[in-house]
Order: sequence, then C-alpha cells, then structure tokens
Amino acid sequence: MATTVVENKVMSFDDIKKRYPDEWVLIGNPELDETPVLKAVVKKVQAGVVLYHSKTKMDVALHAKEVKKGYDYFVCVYTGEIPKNKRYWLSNW
Amino acid sequence: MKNQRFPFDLSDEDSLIQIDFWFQKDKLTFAVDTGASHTVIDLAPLLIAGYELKDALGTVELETGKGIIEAYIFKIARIEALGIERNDFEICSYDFFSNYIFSNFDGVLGLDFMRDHKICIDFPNSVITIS
Repeated sequence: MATTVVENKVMSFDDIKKRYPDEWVLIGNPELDETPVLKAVVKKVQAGVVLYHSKTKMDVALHAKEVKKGYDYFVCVYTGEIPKNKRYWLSNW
Repeated sequence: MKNQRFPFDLSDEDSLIQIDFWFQKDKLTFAVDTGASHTVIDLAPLLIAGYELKDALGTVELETGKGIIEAYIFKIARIEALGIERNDFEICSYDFFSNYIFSNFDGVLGLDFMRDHKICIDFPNSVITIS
C-alpha cells in the first residue's frame, strides 16, 4: 500500500532503491548528474527527497498534487529493473 | 542557430536513444522516434506537473503498435529537448501503463517537434547534432 513520506529527508538514490524496492518514487528537488550525456533520468538521479511511492506510476501521479508543496521540481522514477530482452516499436502516425 | 552536439548513451543493443526532456521545470526521459508523426507523453508525468484531464483540448485517435487508442491533446506552455524550446506546443497523451508500456521513458519525441531543424544521429560516435 502506498504511503506518503512525511520525513523530508534527503536520501541517496542507492538508499531510496533499498528502502522502496520495485516502486515508482516521486523525488522532490532531485540532485542529478549534470554531465552532458543524454540518458534516462533514472541513471542521473543521485539524491533527493522521496515525497511519495507506489507500485504504480499513475498512483504517484494522482497523489502528486498533495505532496509537492515546498518543492520546485520533480522526477518520478522506478527503483527496480525494467525487464530486459525487450524490443520496442513506438511509432504512431 | 549554431550546431549543438548531444552525446548519447546506448548502453546495449536493445537500447533506445533516451534524451532529457524538460517539461516545464521537471526533467523527463523521452525516446527519439523518427518514425512517429507526433510527440507523445505518458499521462502520469503530465498529471505530476499539475495538468488535469479537464485541461485537454480534445482527443485524437493514435495508431500504435498495439492498435488504435484514444489519446488526449494538451497544449503545453513550455517544453525543451535537444536545445530546442517550444512554447504552447500541442502534445498527445495517454496512460502508457494501461497500454502495456512499462519503461524508463516518459514519452516519445516525434517529427512534429523536430521538423524545423536539421538533425543528424551519428550512431558510430553516439552523438546527435542539431542545426
């Protein structure tokens, strides 16, 4: 069951992954690796405050408004492994 | 506009080119898709940024690899990717997860975003150049 995180503590992303495994986490004012290489945000997050966590990204989205106050910017990332051996066909037309 | 170079990281052969996408003040991950006519964003980051379904301008049919789905259209005040900024940009949106997309990316950068620019994807050197 998702719970709102009330302790506004900055945690390293490694600690966030340990504490909220295989969940979507909304991180307020994240510290990001700013090296100029394009890659997924989840590979750039170094630390931040977990504002909400859930098994589904949509649940995080639906509760974001309640927990965002006092923070300027956000990332929502998955702490588990995205399944490997996938092929993508994304196009729309 | 001067040429701008953006190194990218293709960590394995199954990877997509994933880029930074500034959605107002939030940093998202988008996949570059030169086969997509339009830029599409997952509904979740849109809601996180404060948009609501009632802000949608309407809906549109979107043909995807999974068939035709109904997507919302939103007008976004400001987005930026690859050094290109767009204001009042119309973007399609639907819930990726309920349509079986489970991935690290939050959206797809389509041709409507890129079409005013010369874009070169240099795979051997892992660099995108915009001019």
